[in-house]
Parts: sequence; C-alpha cells; structure tokens
Amino acid sequence: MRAGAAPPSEVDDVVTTRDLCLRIGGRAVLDGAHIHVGPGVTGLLGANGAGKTTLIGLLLGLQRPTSGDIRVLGLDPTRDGPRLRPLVGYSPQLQVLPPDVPAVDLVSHLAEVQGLPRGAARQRSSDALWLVGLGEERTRRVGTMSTGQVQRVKLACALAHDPRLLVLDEPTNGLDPVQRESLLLLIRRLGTELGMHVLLSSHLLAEVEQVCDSVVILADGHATSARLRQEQEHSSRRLLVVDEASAAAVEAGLLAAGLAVVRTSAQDLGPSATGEGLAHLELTLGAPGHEAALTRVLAAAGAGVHRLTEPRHGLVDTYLATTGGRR
Amino acid sequence: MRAPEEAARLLDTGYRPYEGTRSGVGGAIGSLVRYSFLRGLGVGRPFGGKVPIGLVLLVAYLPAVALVGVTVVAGDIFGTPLEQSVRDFFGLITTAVVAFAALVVPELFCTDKRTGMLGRYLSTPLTRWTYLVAKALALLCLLGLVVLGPPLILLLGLSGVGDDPPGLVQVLDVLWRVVAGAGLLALPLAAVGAAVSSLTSRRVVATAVIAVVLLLCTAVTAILVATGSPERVHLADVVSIAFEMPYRLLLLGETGDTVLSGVPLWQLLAAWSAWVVVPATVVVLSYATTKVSR
Repeated sequence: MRAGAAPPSEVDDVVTTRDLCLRIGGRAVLDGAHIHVGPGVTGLLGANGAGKTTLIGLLLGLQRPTSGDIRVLGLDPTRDGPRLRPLVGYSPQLQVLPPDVPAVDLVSHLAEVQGLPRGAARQRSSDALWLVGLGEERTRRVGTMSTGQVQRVKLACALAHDPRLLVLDEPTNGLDPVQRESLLLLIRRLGTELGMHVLLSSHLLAEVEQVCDSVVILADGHATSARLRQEQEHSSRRLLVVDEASAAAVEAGLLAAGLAVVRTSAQDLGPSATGEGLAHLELTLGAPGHEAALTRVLAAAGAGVHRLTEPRHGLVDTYLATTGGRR
Repeated sequence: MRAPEEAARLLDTGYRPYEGTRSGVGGAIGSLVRYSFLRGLGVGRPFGGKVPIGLVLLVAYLPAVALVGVTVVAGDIFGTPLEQSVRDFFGLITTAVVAFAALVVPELFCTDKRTGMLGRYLSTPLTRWTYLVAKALALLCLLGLVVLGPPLILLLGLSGVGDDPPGLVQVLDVLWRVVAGAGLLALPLAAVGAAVSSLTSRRVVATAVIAVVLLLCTAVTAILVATGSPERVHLADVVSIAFEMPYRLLLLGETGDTVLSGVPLWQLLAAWSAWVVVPATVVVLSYATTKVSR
C-alpha cells in the first residue's frame, strides 16, 4: 500500500468538478463544467484551444478557477496543492528539458523534490527509466536524445515518485507510429498492471480509444463523459447495419432465435451512422450458437449486410456530437 | 558449495510502489536549494559551464590566500589593524563579486524558465513562492562563497599570524561585522540580478544586462559626481552602496575614504533598502504572472 494514501482501487472519484468556470480575458474557457474521472485510464479530448491544458493546470492547482469546485484524489488543488501534487505525476506538453543534464540525474532530482529521500530517488529514477525503455540510455544527457526518448524521460520524471494519478499532456506529440504504439502500450500498462490512474490529454481519438477506459470531452467550456471499455459487454455486443427492406425480417428472425435485439435510429448512433435506406440493429451474441443463428437468419432473410462491428466507434460519434463536428 | 538458491541474490526488482516517507515542502525546498547551488557552481554542467565560474572563484580567493601566505612567510609586513585589512580587502574583490553575480544569478532563474523546469517544479509540493524562497536561499549561499569566503580566510589567516596576533574578543568582533557586512553586500546584488533574470528566459541576455546595469550605475554616477553633482548621487549606484555596507560596519569609529563616506547613514540605509525592495518586488510580480501549465 502507498504511504499516506489509499490504494487506487479504493478511489471512486479520481477527479470531480462541479460548476467549474474559468474566464481568461473575458473568454469563458470553462463554463460550468461538471467532470467526473473515475479509476483507470481516462482520455481528455477536445479540439485545439478547448481548454485541456488549462484544465490540467486547474487540477494541479497551478491556476485558480473563477468559480466552482474541484476535487482531485479527494483534495482541493487550490488549497491543498502542496499535499496533492506529490500524489500526482505530471508530464507537460512542452518538449524541452535541461539539455545538459543526464536523464537519470534529472529524474532523480525531480523525485527528490517530490519528497523521496536521495537514495530512494536515485534507485527509483533508474527503475523508472528502465520501465520506460531507457535503462541503457539513462546516463546520457537529455540534449543528445531523440524526441521519442525525451517523451520517455518526461514520462519517467512523472512516475519515478510513484504517483497515484498520472497526468499526461499530449505524450505522443512528435513520435513516429512505432514509437507512438509502444508508448501507448506502456501508458495502458501503467494504468492496468501498475495500478495508477491515468489522465491522458490528447486530440487524437484513435489513441484515446486504444488506451482509455473512459473519456472526458471538452467543448465550448462544457464537459461530456463517456465509458469506452466495458469489457464483458463489448465482447458480446454487435452493431448490425442492414438494408431497411430486410430489417424487419432479420429482427424477427433474431428474436425467434433467442438473441436480444434493439432497433436503433441513426440519430441515436451519432453523425457518423447516418445513411439512407439503412437500419441499425444492436444485438448481443451472449451464448454459444448465437453467431451461427445470426448467419442463418441473415441468409434466410436475404439481407444486404453493410456492417457488423463492435460498437466501439461510438467515441467518434460522441466526440462529433459533443463538439458539433469540430476536430 | 552452497546450493544455487542460496547463492542467488535478487539484484533488481524493477519498478514498484514506494512505501517510504515523503519529506513535503521542507524537503522540496532543501532539495532545490542544494541542486541550484551545485548548478550555480557548474557541478553537473559541461566543461564550458564550469570554467567561467571557476575562474571568478579563483580571482576572488587568490588575493586572500596570497595575503595570508605572505603574512605567514614574511610576517606582518603591512602593519595594518585586522579590521582595516579586512575592510580594504572587500575593495579587492569587487570585480569578482560583480562577475560572479552576473554569471550565477541567470543560471538559477533563466534556465528553469527556458527548459520548462519551472513548470515541473510547480507540479511538485513547491508553489511559486516556496520556489522563490529556495532560489533566494541558493543564491545567497552562492554569493556568500565570494563575499564571505575570502574575507573569512583573510580574517582567520591574519588572526593566527604576525608579531602581535589579535585576541579572541577582537577577532569575534570583526567576525560578526564581516558576516553581517557580507550579507548586506550580497542582498542588493542578488535582488538586482534576480529582477533582471526574472524578466527573460535567456541566460546570456540576463548576464549581459546585469553586467551592464551594475557597471553603468558605477560609471554614470562617477561621471556625474566628477562633473559637479553632489556626492549622494552615488546612492544610485548599487555596487557602491553594496560595498559601502561592510566598509561602514568595519570602520570602528574611523573616518572612511570611499565615494559614499560623506553620505549620512540614514540616507545610505534608505537607498540600500530601495535597491533590495524594488528589485524583489519586480521578481515577485514577474513570477506571480508567469504562466507555467505547459
């Protein structure tokens, strides 16, 4: 168990805000936002300028809100900042670090400032750099490292002091696809195997969808929350898109075969699901034989099948509906 | 021979939860003071960052070591009282002190802004104000190396040599004056350096501006007084004011012969306070408005 704090699994509300408002120069960056971030890995999405980095500043107590209430790990960042911040690991968006300092010295120094004794800080900085894949490179000066390595050093800085919450602001900026994939896998691992809560700020829907359990979308000063991973449910749920003409026969056949089926309108599924002459059916393939039954029903009805997928692409729809189509 | 499982040792358990204590704000300040102090001295920096600092320290310490060495070898050939030797010595290290301030203060303040470390520090238990406290402490420790270290070497060196070595009471009387004087000397130079450095993230620019401000103050006031302006014009010269403080403390009833000797003490203290408070206010305002969340 971590010193002075409940283990992550005991925390229900990692971040909560109520009526959070922040005005900068007359412009409402946040306008009564209600945000709830639960345990696990959470994505923070929003168009450029939507206020993601500003929100992170508020969560860390670096800025004061105009009004409203914030709780991070049960603490108020504006009043309890010095107590809260050792529990948080923050990797900022800015990609500069002191170029003339060896990575291990930098990580170790920041761990010390976060309250670890010097010996422990030194040991954990090495461990953190091995964890992010820079074990062999840990004594290199940061200025000689590639962009991908610098991103990893930033991550090591954020996690060396064993935070309960990791806040990562655009951690994949400047990475090539291979580096990005590798870093995303690591972030997912931090949130699952190492038990840290992760708040991942990004404007890339695909990486949030790949890594996160849930998402908070910022738009027009407001926030929308959604779950992405409900593993059991997702493993059996399907979205079936068929010709409107055969939809009634398919629906009846599936119900007769014992499958749970719900007819969904295109509007309910969001902007990306619109399509003339198509019917959307959500069904659950929860038992052995359901897939075979589905195949039989579709063949018997002579249905034109346009799509059969897991309804994971709901993030795009939620995002587009929330932001009004701005990417 | 031992069984393999007895001989085996677990050398690395990898990343794991930390279960020890955390030192809080006090520890964070202490850690930052130590790190900044060492960075200021060039420790952990490339060779090019160490050389200028090393040279300035050499220039500051060499006269003290040489004077003590000469006295040890040749006896008290100068024949001056202890307090006068120390008092006059401050004049010898003026250039080194100004150069040291211009080199070190920007390293402490500008580098953190330029490399994003300020934002990282403020995502720790440190706040803007505890960060500034830590930096101020590190800065005073660093300046103490050049304004206090050499006079102390001289004082302690001269105390133990010569035909008629001073008594303990006299040494202690001079010692507290040297310590207090060094503090009063360092404060305005630190404040001016920090104010300039707080306004830019470029270390080289800050170094140049600090050097120019300090030298210009001295040059302009000297020219003005030489062309008929009253002596108190020197109160606009932060270097003269800073070095006048230990000088006055070590006068011990004698009449001084510096450019500010004719200026009343209250005017000197008022000007000294202004040279500390105004730059410190600039630093506070600058950091109060600095955005760091990126």
